[in-house]
Amino acid sequence: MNNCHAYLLTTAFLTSLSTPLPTLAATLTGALLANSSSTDSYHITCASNNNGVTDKLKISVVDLAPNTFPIISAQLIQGMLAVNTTDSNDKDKKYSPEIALQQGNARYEVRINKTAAGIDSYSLNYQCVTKLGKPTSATINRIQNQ
Amino acid sequence: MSMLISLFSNNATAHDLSGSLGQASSAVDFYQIHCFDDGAGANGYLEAELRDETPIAAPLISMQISVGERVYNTTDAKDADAAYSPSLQVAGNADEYYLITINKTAAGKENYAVSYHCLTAENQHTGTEIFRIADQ
Repeated sequence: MNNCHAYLLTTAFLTSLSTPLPTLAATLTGALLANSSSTDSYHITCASNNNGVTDKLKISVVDLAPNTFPIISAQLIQGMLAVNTTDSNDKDKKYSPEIALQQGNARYEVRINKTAAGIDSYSLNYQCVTKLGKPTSATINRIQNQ
Repeated sequence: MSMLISLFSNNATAHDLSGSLGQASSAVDFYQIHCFDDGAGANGYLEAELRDETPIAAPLISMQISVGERVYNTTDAKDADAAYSPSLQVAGNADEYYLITINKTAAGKENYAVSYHCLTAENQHTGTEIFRIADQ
């Protein structure tokens, strides 16, 4: 990881580098390096808590500064299921459309990538929920940081 | 969502694939490519690239290749030409399974072509077969 990349990482993200964070609902900030092939990947493990058993994992992503050309997308994968969401407007603070996979208590994979070369940063919102929409335990681990 | 598991299996020699993504912006197509020694030698790496086909529309198409815990992305940033995206070369074991996901940046139907080749460390074509896992 070079200095530029490190600069873009927030304190919250740095915390996640060393210790899995058991959370109810969370936002994680990260950065993608200049190479157009750069992809960050995470494992999010949904588990039961006092609210009950997980029904699904929901995620969305927002493209943060700099407001440059690359468009940021996130793919949510579990088993042989995969869905995509894209923040198509870099100039606002709105998250992409929310996507979800309904695979219960499980380990899900999230990949984040961009459409062109250039450093970019993002924020990922993720939440494991029961069938009634109540939050369950979500633990995130960074697998790859590019 | 349409889920097709191994209904599409092609021990290809041309190593070209055409596919389409449905209207939803969340659509992802999902493939597995198996690289193996067919007599030409052990797999060294998978090389693949992507091209956004007609219609010429707003969504950009991207492809991710993963193996183990490594994943890489390529995007065809221009819809209106015949050029492919930057090529990805992803190293793997002698007998390796790669996962391929293909997505787009907005709603709207799109078509794409993928060129893929399993190559030995000496850049010779070797065994290549592809399985479609999900078609959205």
